[in-house]
Amino acid sequence: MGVGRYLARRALFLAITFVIAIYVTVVIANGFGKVDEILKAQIYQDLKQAYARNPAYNRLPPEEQARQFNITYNATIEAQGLNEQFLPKTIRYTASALQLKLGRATQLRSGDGSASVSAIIFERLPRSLVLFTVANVIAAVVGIWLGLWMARKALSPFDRGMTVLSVTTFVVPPWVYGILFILVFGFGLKVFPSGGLTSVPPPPPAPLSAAFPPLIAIGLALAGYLANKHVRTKYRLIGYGVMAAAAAVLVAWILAPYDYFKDLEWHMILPATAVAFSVFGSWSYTTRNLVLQVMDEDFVFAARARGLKERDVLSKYVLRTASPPIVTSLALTLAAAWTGAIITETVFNYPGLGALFFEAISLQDAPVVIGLTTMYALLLVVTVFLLDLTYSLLDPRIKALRR
Amino acid sequence: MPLPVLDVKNLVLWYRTRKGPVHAVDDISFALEAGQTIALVGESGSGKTSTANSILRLLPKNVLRYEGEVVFDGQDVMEFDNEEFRKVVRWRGISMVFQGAMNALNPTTRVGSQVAEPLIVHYDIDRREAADQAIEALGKVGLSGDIARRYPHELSGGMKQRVVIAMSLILKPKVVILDEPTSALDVMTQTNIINLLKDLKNTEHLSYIFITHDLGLASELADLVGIVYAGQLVEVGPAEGVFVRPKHPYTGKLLASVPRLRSEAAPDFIPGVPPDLTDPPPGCRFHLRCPVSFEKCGWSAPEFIEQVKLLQISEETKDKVPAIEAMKAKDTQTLLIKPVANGTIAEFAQRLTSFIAQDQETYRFLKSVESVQSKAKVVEVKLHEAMPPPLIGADWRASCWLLEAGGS
Amino acid sequence: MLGFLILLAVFVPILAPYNVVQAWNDPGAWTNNPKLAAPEWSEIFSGKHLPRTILLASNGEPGGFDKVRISFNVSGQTYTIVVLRKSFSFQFDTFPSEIKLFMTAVFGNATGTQIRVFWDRPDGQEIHLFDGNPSVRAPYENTYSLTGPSFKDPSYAVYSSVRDWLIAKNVTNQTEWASLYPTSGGIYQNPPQTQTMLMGRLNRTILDPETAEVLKGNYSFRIEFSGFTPTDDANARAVVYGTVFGLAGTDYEGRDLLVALLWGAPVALAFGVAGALASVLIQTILGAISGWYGGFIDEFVQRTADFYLIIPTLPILILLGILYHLGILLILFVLVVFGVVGATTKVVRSIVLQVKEEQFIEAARSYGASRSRILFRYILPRVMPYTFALIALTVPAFIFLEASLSFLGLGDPSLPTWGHILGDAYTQGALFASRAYPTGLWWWVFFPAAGIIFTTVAFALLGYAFDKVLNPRLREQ
Repeated sequence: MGVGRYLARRALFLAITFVIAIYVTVVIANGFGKVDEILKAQIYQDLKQAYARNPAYNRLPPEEQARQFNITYNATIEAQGLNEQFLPKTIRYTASALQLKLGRATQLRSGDGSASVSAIIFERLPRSLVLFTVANVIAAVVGIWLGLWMARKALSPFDRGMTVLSVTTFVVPPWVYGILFILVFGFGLKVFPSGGLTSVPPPPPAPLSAAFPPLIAIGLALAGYLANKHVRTKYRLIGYGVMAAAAAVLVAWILAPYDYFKDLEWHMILPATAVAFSVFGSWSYTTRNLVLQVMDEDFVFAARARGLKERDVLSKYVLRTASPPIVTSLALTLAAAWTGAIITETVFNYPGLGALFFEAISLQDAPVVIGLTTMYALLLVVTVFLLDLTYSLLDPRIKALRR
Repeated sequence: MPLPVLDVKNLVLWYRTRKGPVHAVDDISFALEAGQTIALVGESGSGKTSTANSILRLLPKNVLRYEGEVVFDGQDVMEFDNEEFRKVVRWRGISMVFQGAMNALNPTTRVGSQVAEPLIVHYDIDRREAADQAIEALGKVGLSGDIARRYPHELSGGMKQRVVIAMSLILKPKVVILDEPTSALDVMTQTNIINLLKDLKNTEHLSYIFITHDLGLASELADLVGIVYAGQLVEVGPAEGVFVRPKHPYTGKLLASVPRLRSEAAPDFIPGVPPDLTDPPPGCRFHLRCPVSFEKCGWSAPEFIEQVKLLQISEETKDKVPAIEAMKAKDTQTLLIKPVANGTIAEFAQRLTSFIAQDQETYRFLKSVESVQSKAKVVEVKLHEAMPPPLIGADWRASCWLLEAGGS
Repeated sequence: MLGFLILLAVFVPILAPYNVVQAWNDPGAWTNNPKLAAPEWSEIFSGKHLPRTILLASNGEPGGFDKVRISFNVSGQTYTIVVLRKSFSFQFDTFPSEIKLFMTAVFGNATGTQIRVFWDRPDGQEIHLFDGNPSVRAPYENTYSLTGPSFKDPSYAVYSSVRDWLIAKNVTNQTEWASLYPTSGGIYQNPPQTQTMLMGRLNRTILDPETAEVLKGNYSFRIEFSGFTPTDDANARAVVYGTVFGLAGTDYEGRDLLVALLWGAPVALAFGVAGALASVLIQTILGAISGWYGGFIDEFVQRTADFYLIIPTLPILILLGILYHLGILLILFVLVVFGVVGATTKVVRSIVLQVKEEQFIEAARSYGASRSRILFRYILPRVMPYTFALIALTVPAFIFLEASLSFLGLGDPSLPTWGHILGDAYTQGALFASRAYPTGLWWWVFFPAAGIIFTTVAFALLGYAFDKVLNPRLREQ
């Protein structure tokens, strides 16, 4: 099969790229050997001071002093692995990074005091994952919907206005919106908390199930909506019922007492909105442009002539054809958004991976930096691979090309 | 006389562009009886396809004027709202075979489900049943059922064209619009498709609106012929008549431009270019290129000036034209000519008049001159009034002033 | 918008010469400005007339301190007395943020050289603020902060004088005072605001900074200096710091943010345009070469593009920034290096692949044009309109990369760029509400952020003007 071989080749290439990327990171994170020199100098200084305060040592003759000092110094250097040659060492680091043995942090600790880099990262990962997935899904849904609408009304004042809005919002990164949102909604209107993961002190804990009502509501609403689009007219009532249930769940959640998870979600609103606000424009603008291209294709015209409803023409014909390029250009934005999280999370004081990266950099904690960069590279590689996969599934023409 | 299945009356479609309104369809009328085929023939850009699209209400986004009557099956469907039109007319009543079948198929969907789709859209039929009907329809156009599972890019051009025809027949419409159905195909496939269309017309009792620029193909299939020029029908009548003894000069030129095997005569051509539809010429729209145009055909002052300038430029003719320093249009039918200072105005007027009298058979625009008058410094030339010619005749109509005069 | 920016970029270097930027990093250059002051026009939100900064210049300068100096000899001992006096009118609705006195003194014998500082209020009251001995000789200044929570001499002395004065006037008593401003280990838990007591109406309200009312009118400083050599001399200047400043406010060093805001424009513009131009042009040429020559070159460029896609650029840039403290030109260089291949390469390649098949290329080939000639004369011109649109849309990306790095404190440390200011503001807690600043230090954050958005939006709109280039199908209508 052509597709299988194609994917295998891509996977091999991505794996090689991944290894090189990690190696480059390791080399840079160690400052081309500079970090080792700094550490050695520091150990030297520390030892000097420790010995200077030792009266027994001070009474020894100078040669004996130097000998003793060198023994201790070399032992310390060896114990910390600083005497190793730079090249073999970086290769060793790369190998362990690839096995996801990320080592121990020099400064940072996880919430329960562990110095293991994996523990620190995996404590933070879910927070970032939830925040950015939610924000990007919202942005994608709103953006695609808006893009379709804009393409449908192409060149109208609505389209022009929304195009300008999209273009101007997506060039600005989320952290700048973050700053403005904090000023306006956090300080000015005082509607949302200006930062942090939870309130201090956090509200009473709640069972994990309390986290789900908003997700369930969104899921139900979407399910109902999608069902109605694909089901024949007489069964539409089921879809509306499901959507009504979604609304009920949402209302119930809003009325429920303020617990831990509600607090979490409340704190997530501003950062998620900032991210979604800076991303939706890219979805809507890309969708609009690609849809506009497809919209004038003859087969779309033909579909309209066949008496299809305008909505069906858009969703079945236009969007389906335009989706592979939309997915490509946007999966890459999503991947880039991961690294963009560094400043956004810092601004909102949101303890996710991005903020961790910032802390690790400020404290010059090389193992954490390497570990995080490995994670980022892994996320990117996986995104690109999934992209190749979806692409070959979405568009039957790809198969023909590979044959 | 049986009621026509489709009666188009005074159909108009203008759309807006930066250069101004485009008169794509400008007052077109024709009637089509059940089982008949009308061929709409014209040069590219003359408005044939726009006519077809406006019958199905497939309009560009920048519509400026869209009016007239389209009586289908006794109902004026122009009165329908969009939803009703979509449900009743599109594909159920009138279906269409598009220009360039390869592009009319959705590249990401299997052929079978595309053929079946109108059934699901219009009749809410079960998918399995629709698929069976689609295979049946494919059979009618000579394709085997396993084609249904293929994607468009896996088919040849001729097969795709057959698929598109099958799709147009799936709802058993009364009228099928064929928009250059064979223009992208090689000659052998073209013949096959035309034969298929002929067979289907008889077995399925269809009426065709056949849009083409190929007079040969039109004569194969058509009962009626409509000649489209610059957004208007200049001649419409029975095929045997129009093709043998055309009434309109344009039809004549069109027929003469078809190259023939085993004929000594070189194919004729029509001088000039088709007019710009944003600013169609006054009077008869063909007068600029017409070999037999005369007084009434509708020359305007700017056109007249343009023609005189052309004569001045050409090596052959520049000596014939009296020396002119400047020309100016006073209004649409009056122009002022300032001679080169050489003799009196009266003398110049004299020269001009004799030039007009002498050469008006060769340069027919000169026929439009009604009077030449000497003024203080200039000569005022008045042109005949510009009036669009009416469609003259009953079953075989043509719009040319010559017909009114009784000649041909 | 763009025109405005370009005008700004041209005029700023003329209006505010570069040495203003050099002074940016010199804390001594900004001592006359209030710290963390909001813009002057922001008083319209509060509806009050907020205090501007009042500069009381030293003697000898126009409007400066009045000075009387007498030197006399009593039984072989020379005495020199200098009296400095200056009054000023204070007509604002709230209290100043700080009051500072700066003194230069020439003195021979340090012991016994003394200054005594008095404060005269519009209601006729006089407070003996403090007595002190100058510690440094002219031309260096002795700085006396009269207000604030500092317990260093003399602000503590001033505070004690004020307390004693209030007790003497029966406004409060020892016990109440102790309960108002309790100490713990010699440190006041709730530091009193000396300026409210120096300048408030003398009644019970004066004790609470929230309720104290400003006593408007003429205040004056009186400074008595006494020394023991004939050459002894003293001079003084003072600053009554306001709470608002200029058009854009100040930061924690009292620096005028307007300077940085204005200078941010040319820097951002130059950086963004240079970066976008370099990277998009390189990407275009590589994409064109890749599509035109094909084969091994194509494979190589495409794989490099994929590789760049996977490398986490920003983290690596941040690492480089930390280790090497890059200047702005080096940052630009590194950013361009990380952007030699990318999305543009892929897009341009696909356009070239289309153009390649067109007839006029075939024609050019058939009359013997060389491959590189066709590339530069026929193919690149076809790609250019697209490239220009992309340059316009890439400028914001570069502006934001610089801003992001500067925000993290990894930008050029010598340039006050917008990102740099935002970073300073963030690390100084401008995004946290405090009691003194319940809305955060909004001006410190808002203007640079608005500047960045304004600039990038200008370029985005320029890119949007190329909409029809990017969407050829829109052209027909």
